[in-house]
Amino acid sequence: MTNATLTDRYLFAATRSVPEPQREELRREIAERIADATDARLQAGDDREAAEHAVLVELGDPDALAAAYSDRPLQLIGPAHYLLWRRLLKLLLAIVLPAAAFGYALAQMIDGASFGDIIGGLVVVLIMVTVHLAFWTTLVFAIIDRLSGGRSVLEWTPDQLPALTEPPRNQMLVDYVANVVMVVIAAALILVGPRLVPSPDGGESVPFLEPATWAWLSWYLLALLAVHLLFWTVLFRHGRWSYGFVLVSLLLATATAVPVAWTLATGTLFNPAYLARTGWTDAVEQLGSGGAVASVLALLVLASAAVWPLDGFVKARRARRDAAVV
Amino acid sequence: MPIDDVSAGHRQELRRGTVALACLLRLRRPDYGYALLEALAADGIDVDANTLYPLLRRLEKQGLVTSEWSTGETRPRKFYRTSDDGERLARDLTQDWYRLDAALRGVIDQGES
Repeated sequence: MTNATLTDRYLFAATRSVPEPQREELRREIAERIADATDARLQAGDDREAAEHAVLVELGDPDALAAAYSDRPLQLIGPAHYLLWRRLLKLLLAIVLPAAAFGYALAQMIDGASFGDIIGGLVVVLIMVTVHLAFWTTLVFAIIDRLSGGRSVLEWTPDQLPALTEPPRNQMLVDYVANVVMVVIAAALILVGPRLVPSPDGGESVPFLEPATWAWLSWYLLALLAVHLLFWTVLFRHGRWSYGFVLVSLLLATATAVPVAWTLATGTLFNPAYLARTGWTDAVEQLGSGGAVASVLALLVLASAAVWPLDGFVKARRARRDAAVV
Repeated sequence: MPIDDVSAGHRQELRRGTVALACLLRLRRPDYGYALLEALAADGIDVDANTLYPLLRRLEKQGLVTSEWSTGETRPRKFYRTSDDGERLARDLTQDWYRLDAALRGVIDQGES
């Protein structure tokens, strides 16, 4: 009999997700409901097959019915923990992804991988890290949500309110002074720094930096520092960061860091004659073209230069948000 | 969202708590799911079967109604009956209902005058 089969199949589907001890009780309850509702339709004149079919349609998805009957939530993470989950996941991604990218690129560079290989591998690593972070965080929260019965495990208090941002003008002045001081220190280092490095064995003077490179690099960097000074002054006059300033700072950071990193990575920044006379036996290999220490230093130069436009970007976004609020 | 859906949502929300109270009052005399559904409909309490059956289970789990399988009839049926706790809750909810009714009448009268 097809009707009996349909009902039996429904009862089986609705009770299979329920723990064994409650299964029989639930099965009998649903069977009673189906039979009563079918009888009502039969009395109204339906034929048996149509009545049973209509009743089952009314009951709906058996898994949803079982969840409603046993008060089980039909969501992975309920409203009690959703916001906490989202906040934590964003924070984790913001911290772990850059760290993983930097660590991976560093390891590959030390291994001597090509640029293309590093970029290709980096994409795979970032996708994997993202998937793992999202999966495990979600899993832990889903378990917490089930165990806590949908009640929040962390109470919100007013102490968690974000601090209001500093008056921007004041902060801009602090930034401006700090940056001008840094530019002056950098200029002084470029002008007199190399001459302050003592000769390794006290004999005739051997320049620390490769003279052929330093001859153009020092003037190039000094010229750029002048542009930096101009940039900070214009920014301070303007009063707040904008995305235009972020773009200019990105170009300036690139123009500053890339030549330095490039000469480091190709082994043309330090003077091999100087390195050979130091007590460090494999200094020439380590700091020469493709040397491990040279690669690490080059990467550090790029990373520290990237901080600057990133900082600008954060401040520009904040300035835009504050402007929108006012 | 169409305005019909919005008003249907609000009306459903207004009715929601009354179904539990109606069940507790009705089940002072033991009854089974489908008969209760029909009795409530005859009383003018609109309730969907997909709401009523899970509600009965929840009330039982909370100790507000007790149940017993009756096998004497044509098919086994689960009969529910309001427990002592359920009786106390029904009285409290009834008081609340009167208070709400009085309060809302006041608000309605102010709005009309």
